[in-house]
Order: sequence, then structure tokens, then C-alpha cells
Amino acid sequence: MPAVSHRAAAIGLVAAVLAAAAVLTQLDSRLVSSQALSLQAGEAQEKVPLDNPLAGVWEGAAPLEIPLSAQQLTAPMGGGSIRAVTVRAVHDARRIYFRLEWDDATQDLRAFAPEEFRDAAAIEFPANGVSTLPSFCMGQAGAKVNIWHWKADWQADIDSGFVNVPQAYPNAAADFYPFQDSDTFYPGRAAGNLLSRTEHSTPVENIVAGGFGTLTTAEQQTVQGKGLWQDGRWYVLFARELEGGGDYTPFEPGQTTNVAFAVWDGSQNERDGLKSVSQFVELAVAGGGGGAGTETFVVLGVIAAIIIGGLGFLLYSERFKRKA
Amino acid sequence: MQTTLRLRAGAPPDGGLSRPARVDAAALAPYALWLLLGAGVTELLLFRTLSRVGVHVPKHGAVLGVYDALVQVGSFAFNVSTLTAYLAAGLLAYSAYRSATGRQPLAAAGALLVLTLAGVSLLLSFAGGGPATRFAFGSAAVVAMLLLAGQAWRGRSPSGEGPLRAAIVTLAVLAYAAAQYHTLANHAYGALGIVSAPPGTRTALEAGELLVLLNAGAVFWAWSGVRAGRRWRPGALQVIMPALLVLTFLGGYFGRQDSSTTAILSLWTLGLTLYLPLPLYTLALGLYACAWAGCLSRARRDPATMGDVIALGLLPVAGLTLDTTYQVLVALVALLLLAAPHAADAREVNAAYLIHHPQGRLRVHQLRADAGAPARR
Repeated sequence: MPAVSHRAAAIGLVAAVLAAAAVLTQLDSRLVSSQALSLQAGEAQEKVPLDNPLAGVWEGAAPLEIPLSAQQLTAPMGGGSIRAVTVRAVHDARRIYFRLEWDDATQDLRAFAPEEFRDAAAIEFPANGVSTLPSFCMGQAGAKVNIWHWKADWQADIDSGFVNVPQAYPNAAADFYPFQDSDTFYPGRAAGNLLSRTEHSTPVENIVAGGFGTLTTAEQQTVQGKGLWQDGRWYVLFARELEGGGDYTPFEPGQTTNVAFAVWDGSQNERDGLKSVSQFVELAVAGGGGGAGTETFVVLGVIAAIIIGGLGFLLYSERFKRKA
Repeated sequence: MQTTLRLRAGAPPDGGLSRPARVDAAALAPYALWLLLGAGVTELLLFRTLSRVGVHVPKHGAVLGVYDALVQVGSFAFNVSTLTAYLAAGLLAYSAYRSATGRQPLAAAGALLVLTLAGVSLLLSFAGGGPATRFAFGSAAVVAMLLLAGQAWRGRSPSGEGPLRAAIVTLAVLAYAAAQYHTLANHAYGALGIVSAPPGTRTALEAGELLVLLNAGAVFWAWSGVRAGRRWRPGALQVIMPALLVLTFLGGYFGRQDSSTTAILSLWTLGLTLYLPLPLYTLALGLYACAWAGCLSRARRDPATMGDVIALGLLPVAGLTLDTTYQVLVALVALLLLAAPHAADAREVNAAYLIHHPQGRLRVHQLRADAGAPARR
């Protein structure tokens, strides 16, 4: 082999790297693989009831404990009283289901008075058609997010009926309100504002956002849910058809996307930006060929081959050295 | 192939600068290392950080144009950095293995494992992988790190830090191991189909973050020059650089509107959740930057420590949580440099640095002249 100076070889090497990087950039391709946490949405082994977050089917779903931290990205910053949320996900080829659970000593079901704040939880996905990972804090222009927001007060409205002034303030008295039977007395309700309704078909609001301050109630409220507080712990179920439509995140077996979580503790005055949030983690929807079992066997085989090959290489090197 | 450790095994007087020689891994590694550091820091700032604070960039006029151009440069730097990570890990691990076999079994095994991981990570970038694959790759990386920590306690250092260097490597490895336990335990449970949450994952992650802060203090003690006591006179760079970084950090955090830059930089790029009091992070940042600047000043006088400059620069690029195979490789390269500082030919590291220095060519010529070799123009 002809002798080459180190610098000439180095320049050649650097040039080759730059050229290859330019090609990869042009192709919008990356030579990396994720090592991050992955939430596996396996195929449900039995029917998933929409009204019972404690159903036995969830015992067969692998949990993922996701650390949360205070929201420190935009005002109002703070929260962080809930340190982790445990998440499980399954699908039945028609719907995808998530169950969130976290410790919360108090059950905060009302946000009626100005000083009352409810418990809540949210799941966030990159919206339909988004090619780059959005900012996990409400997305960004050109990279929207789809958020499912479960509210404990809506859950209470569904379970026990809407809480109105007489229930919230039993000793209050008012002689007369003009036009109180007219639609315009409650302009929010008259305008069809979801947040003003006294009756809800689901405790989960379907939302789309493209940056701070752009949270918008979605046109279609397609996410079902059920929250249950038991022994100081919330169990909240979310469910939606796999097909999304519009900006709503679609799911299909074999798909990999991202998901982030947020939890609010009303007793700690958490609301709006004051909450506990996670980063995006990977969400893998099972199906579409292959399986975890197959992969495990393949990986074990490769590890065995590497160990045997490495030991052989070590022995060969030693023999080669001794001969030299 | 010739033995690569010229500093130990007898280097030519000019360090291989002047005359053509057979190319070996140790001589090429420094070029890859400098390129990795440059591209890594660029992608950290322009790609991982700037692209994630785009929500705050005005969406009109020249600002958007400049933003898009910078992010594109960052994207290119990311690809340069990922490719160079494979190259640097391969070259460095190979030369470390060649020099360690037989005499230092820990170093040999660690280097061989890093070499294997570089190859496997390239394969994974095409094939992908589920929980079992990620668990296997991550576990092997942690084993390689532990082997390197073991080597750090047995090896010699070029500048005599000895146990302090070994302690720093060990702290870094423990931080990575704690953070990786959080990820790998979940991968293992997923691969084995265990339907319960692994114990202590959150605590381990928080412990890893605490170890990062402690290690910043240890790095400061080792490389800032503070051990000289009252005779310590920090250079201008050691004062200006930490001050700028700390001011940027605090300015971002307590900014008038929000603190997105700070939070995203720490959470998304370094993997730090800022769960501890803010002054601790501020102090750690200042101390680490001061140590890096001190290390750089020292390396100009003592080329043998140039590898430390690169290693300390690469650790923030890798971050704590090692979310990609690329970040795993960068961390391994940094630890390899710290644990086996002779793996890369230190004279070549210095030469590669000088070539890129504003006055580099003059210094290289001077180096050659000092060595009695003809300076070519």
C-alpha cells in the first residue's frame, strides 16, 4: 500500500464525511436510532369497557412510569406537584385506549368558584400530517398538536349532574334576574361554547393547538373517557377511534408516533400553565407484522454471536501477537 | 500495522507531521475528534436548541430567513456529527484496543465493546429496533462505560490527576448508569412482557441528575487550576466564558416573557429536568465552563491534555439521558478519552487543533522547526 501522509488521509476522510452528510441532509435522512422510552400500545386481549378504568384488561397492558416536572416554558410557570404518571395503552383494531394513573390525595371535582381548581390530565400527540416533531408545549406554527384534555369537573357533571349556583352557594339569594330564561342570558351557551355547557357527553375535550395561546376546541369531540378516584389515586381512561380525520392524530397498527402527558392537581392551585408535564415519548402501536417475542429471540441470537465473535477475535489477536 | 501509542511506544521525533507514514487509527482519530466536537456543538446549538425555540422567533422578514438558514446549517452539522461519531468511536476504540490488549484487559474489553457498539449502532440506524434491541444496545453501552471506569482507576494520566480523573470518570459513568436504568428497566420489562412498572426508575433518574451537578464540581477542581490555591490566577477566558453562559442561562430563565430557551436547552438537549434548586444548576454551569476554559488554556502549553478538552466538550453534547444511538456513541468517545487519554496520539490531537487555530499554521511550522524537520509551505 503506498504511504499516505496523515494529513492527506485526514483531509480525505473529512471530505468524505462532509459529502455524505450533505447527501443525508438533502434526503432529510438521519443515521441514528432512538434509544428513548417507548410506550407500547399492545393488542387488547379482551373487550375494553369505556366506563371502567379498573377493568381487568388493563392488568395485561405494560405500564410505563413517566417522570413529570413543573412547566417552565411559558408564563404562568409552575406546578410540578405530581412527580410521575403511570401510563398503559392498548388497541383493539377499532379504537386506541390509554389509561393514566397518578397519586393524588385529594379529589378536586369543581372549578365553579374563582378560588376552586379541578384535577385534570391531558395527552398530546403531533397532529395529523405533521412531519417534524412539534414543541411539546402546545406545538408550533406548521407543526400542530392534538390534545385530549380530561377534566374532573366535567366527569363530575356526567356522574352526578351539573353544579349550579344553588348547589355551590346554598345560602345565596337573588330576587330577580331579567331575561334569565332567554338564550342571551347565557351568551356562551347560546354561542355553542363547549366550556359553557351544563351537559357533556364526554369528560374529555378534543383540542388542537399550534403554539402558545392557540388552544382551540376541535370541531369534532370524538374522544371518550372516564375518570375514577380511588384510595388516593386517579385512574383516567381515554379512548378514540383509530382513524382521526382533520387535524386529529390518526393511529394504525405498526405505527410509531410520539405522545406527551400533563397532569393538574387542583388542590395545589394548578390550572392553565401551572401543571406537571412530560417530554414527548415514543408511542408504538402494536401490529402490522413482527412481534416483541420474535425480536427478543433475534436480539438474543445477535448478542450471542457478538460475544462468541469477540472472544474469537481476542484469542486470534493474542495468537497473532505471539507469532509476531 | 504499527503500534499506535507513539507517546508510550516511541514516537518519531516530529510526531509524524513531516514525513509520509503509514496511516493508522490513532493518527487519524484526532481529526475525527475535532470534527466531532465542532459539529456536535454546532448541532447542539443550532439544531437541537434553536429549532426548538422557533415558536418565539418572529415569523416574518429577514429574521425568519436567518432562522431557517441557521437551522439548516444545524441539520447539516447534525449529520456531520452523527457520521463523525461512528468514525471517531471506531478509530479511537480500535487504537485503544490495539494498545491495550494483553496488558490491560479492562481497557481492551471496553475498547472492543465500544468498537462493536459503533458498528451495531450504524446497523440500527437502518434496521431500527424495539424494546429488546434497545435494551441490549443500552446495556452493552453501560457495560462498556463501567469497563472504562475500571480502566480509569488502573490507567495513567498524562498530567498526573490520577485518582481525581478516575473519580470524574466514575461519577460520569454512574450518572449515565442511573439515567439509563430508568430507560433500560422499562425496555426490559417491555421486552419480557412484564406488566408492572420497574422499581425506582424515577429516583434513579433524579440521582443521575444530581451526579451531573456533583461532577461539574469535580471537573472544576481537576482542571480549572483552583488547586493552586492562592497562586491561582484564572485566565480571561475562564472568567468571560462562564460569566456569559451563566448570564445567558439566568437571563433566559428570568426573562420578561418566558424562559423557554433555558428550559428547552436543559430539558430537551441535556436531559436535565431542573428539579433541584436553580442556583445549583447555575453554579454547576459556571464551574464546568470555567474548568473547560482552564483545560483549553493548559492544553495549549501541554498537548497531552488536548484530549481532555475534547472530552469535556463532548459530554454536554451527549447529554444525560442518551436518547439516541448517536448520543450514546458521543458519551462513549468522551469517556474513552478521559479513561484512556493516550488512545489518540496527543501530538496529532494538538496538530489537528493548531491547523484550525487562527495562528495554527505558524505554530505547526514552529513545531516542525523545533523538531528539526523542514517546514513546507
